[in-house]
Amino acid sequence: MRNALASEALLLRRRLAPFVVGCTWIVLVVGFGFGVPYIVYATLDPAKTADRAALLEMLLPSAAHTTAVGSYPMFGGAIMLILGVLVTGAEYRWGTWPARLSQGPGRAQVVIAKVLVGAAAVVVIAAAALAASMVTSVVIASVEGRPLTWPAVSAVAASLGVAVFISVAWLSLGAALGVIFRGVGTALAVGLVWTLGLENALSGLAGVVPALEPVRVILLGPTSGSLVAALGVPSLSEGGAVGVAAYVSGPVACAVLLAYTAAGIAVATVLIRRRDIT
Amino acid sequence: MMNLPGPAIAVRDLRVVRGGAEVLHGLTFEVPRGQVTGLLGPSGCGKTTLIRSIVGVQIVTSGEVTVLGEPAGGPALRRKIGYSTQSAAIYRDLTVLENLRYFAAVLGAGKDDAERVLEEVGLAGAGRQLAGSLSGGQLGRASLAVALLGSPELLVLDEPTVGLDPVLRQDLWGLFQSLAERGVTLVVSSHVMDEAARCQRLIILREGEILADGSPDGLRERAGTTDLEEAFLRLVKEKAERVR
Repeated sequence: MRNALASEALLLRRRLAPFVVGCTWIVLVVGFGFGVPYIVYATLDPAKTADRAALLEMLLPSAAHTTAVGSYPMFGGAIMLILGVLVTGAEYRWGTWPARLSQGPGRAQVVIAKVLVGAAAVVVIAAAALAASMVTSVVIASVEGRPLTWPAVSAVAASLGVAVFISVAWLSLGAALGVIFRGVGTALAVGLVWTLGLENALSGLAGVVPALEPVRVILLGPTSGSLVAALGVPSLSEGGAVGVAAYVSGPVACAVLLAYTAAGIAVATVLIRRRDIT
Repeated sequence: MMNLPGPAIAVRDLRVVRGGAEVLHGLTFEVPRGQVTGLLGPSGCGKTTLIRSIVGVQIVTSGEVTVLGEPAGGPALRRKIGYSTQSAAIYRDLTVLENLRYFAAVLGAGKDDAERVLEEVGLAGAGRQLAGSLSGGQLGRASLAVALLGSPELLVLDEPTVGLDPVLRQDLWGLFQSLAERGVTLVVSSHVMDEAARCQRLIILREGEILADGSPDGLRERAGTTDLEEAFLRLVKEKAERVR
């Protein structure tokens, strides 16, 4: 297992994909979590004092960690799914599975090592996105002449933990899709259509068709949103981020995310072990 | 390299079905240790499927494949086999050296191993080149370098000389011979009959069956000709007449 982890860590460090995905995510968090709301704040009718104050409050250092984690349920998941697909699917693109799986560590170890190294990359990406959010909030506070009030370390750690927890579940799903569809293209298409289209449609419909509510609680997007909401992040209707809503309790959301992580790794491992390797 | 008793590869009644069609029809043969064995036959005859069965990445329908005394694909074999696929198994977005260091890490091979194998395949000057910018022949050699990492006991090479100029082909066959002299067993597939003469042993496949199995001299004698390509054609004709 040590060789498997060392080699996969070496591979991921040398590849462009995690850097591109990581940088894209940081830009999205800063842009949509802080940049766009700040433009809205700056252009909002000055008479709407309460709305402006509430909006600015979310962009200051005291709330930067919750604003950052609020970006994960909708777009962060999709970005981490892309990373997961690239972790396994790229092997089919280069035809490297046969050489990789006929020597060195066993097939299950290789798949698990790939997901673990991907998870380590996710931790780095989530920490970098949080750091970028903090820096942005400091800039906004300075521009607006507001005092720098820092959140509690435990609150920041909880936000980072939730971001990583959500990201690893999506990454595992992406890794499974890369193996199921034996490549990157179809896996990305199916994953993104499911994530951004079907899940949102089902989740929205569940609001008007009660029969769909049991389905919504097992979807990855709504449960990610529920876990973020459990941190106290406001939902969209409360002026918070898209995708944040308390459909289920925090522990249930954790259980569903864990189930997706385990199922993603299991599906990828079983398929790699049982199939012809091409 | 230890010379253990028994064949390097023993195949018994191997049948493989791919895409609903039987590709290998009950093959039985053995490959001795420390020799270069050529796996020859026209395109589509089942060479790659047989090779994939030997290295353990192909699901077999029935039969047994034993490699270095272990069932094909067994965990103990993963450090003893080097496998070079027909199309180069190389990450095109990494440099050649990064590819080799990655595969060396997979095997737990020494850090200097990457430079050693680059030298052996004649790519010492291309180590820092992005693999995606290599020519087809260079890519093939980079893939071969991966197979040489970690000093394997058995090297299985699927058409390693395709796209190479005659000088490079001669160099590589020289490398194969020197590896065999060191006790490494090599199975080298090719559809080019003039490469057959460089092997100590030949297994000729056609339509998923073994057409001939023996030394180059033995095959020439059996077919009554000194030319191996002509020998192959005569064997095909002989078999067709037998079937009729």
